[in-house]
Formats: sequence, C-alpha cells, structure tokens
Amino acid sequence: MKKILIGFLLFSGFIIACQKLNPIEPPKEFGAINNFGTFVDTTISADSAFFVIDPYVLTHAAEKFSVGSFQGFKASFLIHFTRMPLDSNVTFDSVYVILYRQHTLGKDAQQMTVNISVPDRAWNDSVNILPEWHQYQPPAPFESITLDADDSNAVKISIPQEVFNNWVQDKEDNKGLFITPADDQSAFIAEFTNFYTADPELWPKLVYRKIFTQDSVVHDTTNIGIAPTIFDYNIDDPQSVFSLAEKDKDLIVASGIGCRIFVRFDSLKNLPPSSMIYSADLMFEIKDVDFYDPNLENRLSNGDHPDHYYLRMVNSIGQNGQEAEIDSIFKSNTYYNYSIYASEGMLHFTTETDQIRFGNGFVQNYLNGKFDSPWFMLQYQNERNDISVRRIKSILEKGVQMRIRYYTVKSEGF
Amino acid sequence: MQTLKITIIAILISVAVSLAGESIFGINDYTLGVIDLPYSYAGFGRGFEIGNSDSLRLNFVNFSTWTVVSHPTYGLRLGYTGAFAKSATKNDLFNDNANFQGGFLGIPVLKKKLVFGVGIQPATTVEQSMKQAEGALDKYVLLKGGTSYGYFNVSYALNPRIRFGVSYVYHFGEITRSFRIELQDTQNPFTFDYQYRYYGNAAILSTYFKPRKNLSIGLIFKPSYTLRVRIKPQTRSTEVNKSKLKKLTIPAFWGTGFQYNLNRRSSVGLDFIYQDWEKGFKVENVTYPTLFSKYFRLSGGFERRQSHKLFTSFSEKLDYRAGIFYGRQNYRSLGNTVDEYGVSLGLSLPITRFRSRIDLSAIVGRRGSLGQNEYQETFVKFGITINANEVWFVKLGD
Repeated sequence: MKKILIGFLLFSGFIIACQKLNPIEPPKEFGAINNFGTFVDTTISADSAFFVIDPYVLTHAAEKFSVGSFQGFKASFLIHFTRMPLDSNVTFDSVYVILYRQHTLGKDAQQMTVNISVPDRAWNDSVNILPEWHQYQPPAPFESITLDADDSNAVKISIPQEVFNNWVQDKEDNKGLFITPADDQSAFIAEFTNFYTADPELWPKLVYRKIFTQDSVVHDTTNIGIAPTIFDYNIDDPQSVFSLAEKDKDLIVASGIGCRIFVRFDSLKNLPPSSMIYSADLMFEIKDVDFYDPNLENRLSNGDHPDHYYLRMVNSIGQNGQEAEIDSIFKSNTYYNYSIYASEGMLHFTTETDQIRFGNGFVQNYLNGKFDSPWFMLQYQNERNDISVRRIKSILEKGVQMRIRYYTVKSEGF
Repeated sequence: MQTLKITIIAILISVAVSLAGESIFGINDYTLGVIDLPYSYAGFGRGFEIGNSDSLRLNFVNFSTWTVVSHPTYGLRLGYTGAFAKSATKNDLFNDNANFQGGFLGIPVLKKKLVFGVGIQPATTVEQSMKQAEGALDKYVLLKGGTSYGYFNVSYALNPRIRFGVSYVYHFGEITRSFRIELQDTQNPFTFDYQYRYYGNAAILSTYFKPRKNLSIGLIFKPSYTLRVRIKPQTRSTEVNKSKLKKLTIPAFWGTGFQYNLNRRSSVGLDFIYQDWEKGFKVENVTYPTLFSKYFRLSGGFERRQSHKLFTSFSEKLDYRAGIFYGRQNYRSLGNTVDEYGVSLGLSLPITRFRSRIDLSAIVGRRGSLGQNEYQETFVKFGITINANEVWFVKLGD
C-alpha cells in the first residue's frame, strides 16, 4: 500500500508538470480587466526652479588641471612633486616639468602666454576653496611660455637649477609652481591630464639629471604629486553668464565654478493616491545657444566633460536654495542614487531601467508618504575637473518636465 | 503508522496543488472558480454516490453512510482533465490540468454505530490566462487558485437502516489575479497582484436510510453560509495595499439520490444535486443573476461489483461501472446558462492482502453551445481513488 501511495504522489507530480494553459480573450462577464483601473501616461512641468552658484569647489583629486582665460572664466594651477631626490653631494641639471595636453576649451585667440613662478607661500590641494588664493599675487615669474590652442603636444617647462635645488632641500614641502595666464584677455583654457588620470603615462613628470662625478650621470623621473586648479569668475558681473541666465529665467548647471539647479514639482501632489508608478523620467531641455552670440552653440559647454549628472532628492530648502538639505539616502542605498545623462537634446534618465527605478524609488515613495518634498537638485557628477557650463531652458519654456507613467486603481475587483 | 504519515503528506500536498482550472468557462468578476463535484471516482464512474453505502469505501458526499466501515478507512483522489474548446469567432483552445484532490479518513469509534472522520477536498478551482489589447497596451490577467473544504464529520447509525451525519466544514482558499501590462515601447512589463483570501464556516447534514431491503436513499443539505473574502493587493502603493473585507453569501446546497440493488452484485442509482447561485450567491447582499445561474446535476448509472467467491477469475474480482449525466454550471457565458452532459465509465481493481481497492474512472462530456455561449467545450476526465481499510488500533489483550 505504501508503494502505491508513493507512486500516486509521483504520478500526480508528473501530470501536474504536464499541464498547460493558453491565454484567451476575456469573456464579457469578466469586466474587471477593464474596470480595474486605468493606465496613464502624463507629463508635468516644474513649478519652480533656480540655480545656486558655488564659486569655490574643491578641485583636489581632479583628473585634469587647467590654465587659461576664456569668456571671463580664468584658470590657474599649482603643481608640486612630492618625491624629491635624497642624494647628497650631487649636482642636478636639465630639470624639466612635462605636462600632457588633454583638451582645449574655447578659442578666442590662437595663442596664450602663461607665467610660471614659484609661489611664496605653502599650499595644499584645497586651494580653490580658500578665498585668499583667488586674490593671490604670485612673485615675478621665472619663465613665460606660449601655448597654442591647437597644439596637443606635451608642454615642457624648463626649471632653473636654483629652483630645483630649493625643492630638493624642502623635500615634500616644496612649493612647486604656480602657473597662471599672463593677462585676462579671453583666449582659451588649456586642460592637462592630472595625477588622477587612469593612465600613469599621462601623469605630469619631473625629469632631471643627477651628476655624481664627471663620469657618473643618471637621468631620473618622478611623477607623484598634486596639481589643484584655481577657477575664477566674476559671478556678480551683469554680463556674467549667471546674470544673463537669471535675466532670461534660464537655468545653469556648471562645473569649475559650481552651479546646481533646484526644481520643484508641485503637481506630484495631484497624482491619485491609489496609483502604482510604472516609470518616471525627469527631463531638462538643453538650450545649446551661446550666451554672447546667439548664432553659435554654447561655447562654454565643455565637450571633454562627460554629460553625467547627479539628481538628488532635497529634504528641505530655504529661499533661493539657502540651507538646502540633500536627502542622504543615496549614500546608504544605491537604489536612490540617481544619475542622468544627455541624450536627444535633454538631460534625463536615458534607460528604461533608470526610469523605472526613479518611478518606483522616488515618485511611488512620494505617493506612499516616505518622501514628502517635491524638490530635486541637479549637479554635474564631477564639478572639480574643469570649466563646463550647461544651459537649460527656463520653466516658462517648459524646460524642466517629468513624464510619469502609472496605473490608477479604480476598484479592487469586487 | 508509516502509511498514516504518507497519507497525511498526501493530503497536505493536495491542498497545495489542487488549484488549477478545468474549463474555459467559469470566469466572471466574482468568480470562485468552477465547482468541483465532491464525488469519489467510483461515484463518478457509476453516476451516483449519495445513496451508496459501502464497507470498503468512504462515501465522499454523504458522510452518514460511513458507519458501515469497520476499520479505519481512507480514500484519496487524483484527477486529470483535458478540455477542447471551440468558438465561432475566436481561436480554438486546449487546456488541461491535474489535481491531487485530497481525501477522507474515517475512524470507527463504536463499531457500526459511530464514526469520526476528517477530510479535505477542493471546492472550486480556477486557472485561466486572459489577454486584451488596448491601444499601445497589452493587458494580461492570470486568475489562479481556488477554495477547499476542510471537514470534521460525525456519523451515527440509529440502526443499520437509518443513519445520520453531521459535518463541520471550514471553507477556505485563495485566488490570485496577476496583472501584467506590456507597453509597446518598453522592455519591462508592469506587474502587480491581487490576492483574494476566502474563509468561512459551514455545516452539512446528511442522512441515509433503507426503506426496503434493495433500496437505499441518501439526502444531504448544506445551509447557506457566509464566506468572507479579504482582498490583499500586492502592489507598490501603500494606499492600494490597504486590505478590504467583503462578505459573500454561498447558497444552500441540496442533494438526494438512491441506489436500487438488482441482485447481490448489481445496482442502479440516481443522484440529483442543486444549488441556486442565481438568487443565492451574494456579494455584500447583492445578487448577480446576469453572471450566475442555478447549478444542478442529474446523473445515474449502473454498477456490477466483484464476486464474493474466494476462487474466481481476475475479471470477476473487478467492479464495472457506467453512467450518464446532465447538468448546468453555476456561471453564465454570453448571458446564457452553460449546460453539460456526458457519459462515464469506471473500473475497480482489488489490492490483495488488504481490503483495499483502486477505483478508476473516465468521463467524456460536452459543455456549452456555440449558439448560446462563447465556446463549446468537449472534455475528458480521468480519475483515480485509492481506498484502504487498515487495522490501526489493536488491544494487546485481545
């Protein structure tokens, strides 16, 4: 009997595995498929938006450093190599700093002169957030060199022997170099690969020759150091890009001179509470027009700067973005770490997966009461690398919108 | 006791897997699924069960007959159904499924007088996938699940000719509606589920009496009762997910049948069961006569049982059964009732050593009509019931 029962169980498992089911058209008696709810595809516009400027962003650990002047934006940089030779009774000569060009932003002039001096005060890689370095008057340059906008070759700076001897003496506390445009004339901004570039071959190099005796000469190289950039811009100038954008109600997201956009969507409150969000896409329409010549594309949009942006949820915010408190949940839960990208003239969630994640992560949780602020902040993922200014259409032109796809339940089927 | 353990496992599994539909009909807004006829497969084969009393088998419908068993007795069911559906306007379809359909255990307490019993049986089952295109959307709904009865029975024989049965019935189950919406411009479908969990208490009164030596009659009655349904959406929305409780009224169930013994080995019989879903089924006290109709089934047939001779051929040790049936489903299709009819055959095999038998049955039938309903369905059903009598409790002093 036991065997028969076991066989009975096994046989039932077999025939259950064999069963199949084909979909049919719903009979008219099953109205629930239509009456259950409605799928809605809607687009809402931002009700409020502005940008907030941070003139002093931290430029340490950047992958690029810059020097030059373009459209009022100015870049200077400090560089020093931390590992100096420890040899005694040695003479050094043929000392050069070699820098590798990566990109050029703008071209109001073909050539530009930069001054190279040795700073007279100690510094670290946080110089760009220190106001005193933005008014810094360096000592007289020991050399000036000319950079060409179209020249992509490495730049070789000859270092005087006494300068290098001082660096050797100061070891890791050596003051390095301060390199700045010779004047404020708009030309271009030359960008170089920094010590944090992935390829070590492109890191700045310090090469020198050690002479032990007449017959004993050694060439040596070091490529360990830091090179923070100092970005300057007169944001209060009525002709600054920020003043012009404010006047036109446009929005700006920028790096180098940090600028972040805050937007608010009051219409989220009008979504039916009994909605299940399928996806949501937050869209910022790019205004690719130059600030000073409407016939040109935006020349301050840096083609070498990846179009990657962070979208942050904002818990609370004061007037004009004062005391904005960013929701920190993205630090502990990557599901809420939203990135948006440029595509088809917009900054938005370019993949369906991200749109679903934003819809479920934020919009659904807003409806569920987990989040209660309809504010967002948009910023460049990398604000420290270089100068780049993105222009976004104003909310009056419906430049910031959110497309939401959701299903609203009308009845529970009974 | 090992057999008892396996039996318990089998019964538990039956609850888990006895959730599959067997018909293209039976889909509406308040569906519980298609009613599972609570017959053993011996009853299916011969077309009658209510008036049948057998010392080897438990009657799956009329529990008052159980006092005739002299040892702990159980019966387990397994069934398979394949249904070919034709439509005048839609594609032809074939659906099939298998249900391990629970069973009963009867334990005599006072020999030939008092039997306690427990059991579990599927009550309704549904499994159907539907698709509807709407603009840029393809909407799919999968209805899956069903309800079951759990029984606790007491059977008492006033004398061998008059017997009574009382059952407490716990009606429970779950039907899930799984929604899937596919948007034409997306790769990821939008999905959510609604679970409908049912529970309610009912009672069954049954009786069996023999007004004549060759004639036995059975009656069963299950009064109308309340079945509650807790609706539990499984969605991303906390607002939607708030559960709701609704009250259903399940109509009273009536059944009667007789068996007439032509001689010691041959019998004929007839059963009639009835349940008024049209007026008796209510959702929050509202009836839905456009969706439900009166359920009934009239069936009858013939049975020739095994020979009682000790030495005889194998074919003489078998039971042979044949029956016919005509009935009406409790659901409407295109607003019209869905009638069904068919024939059944059955065979019973002995298991030597124990007083146990395996009942096999096959049913062929047709349900619905192309003129009246959306589909016409031809179905086949195969079933097995295992019946066993075993001595579990023996006094050591005996």
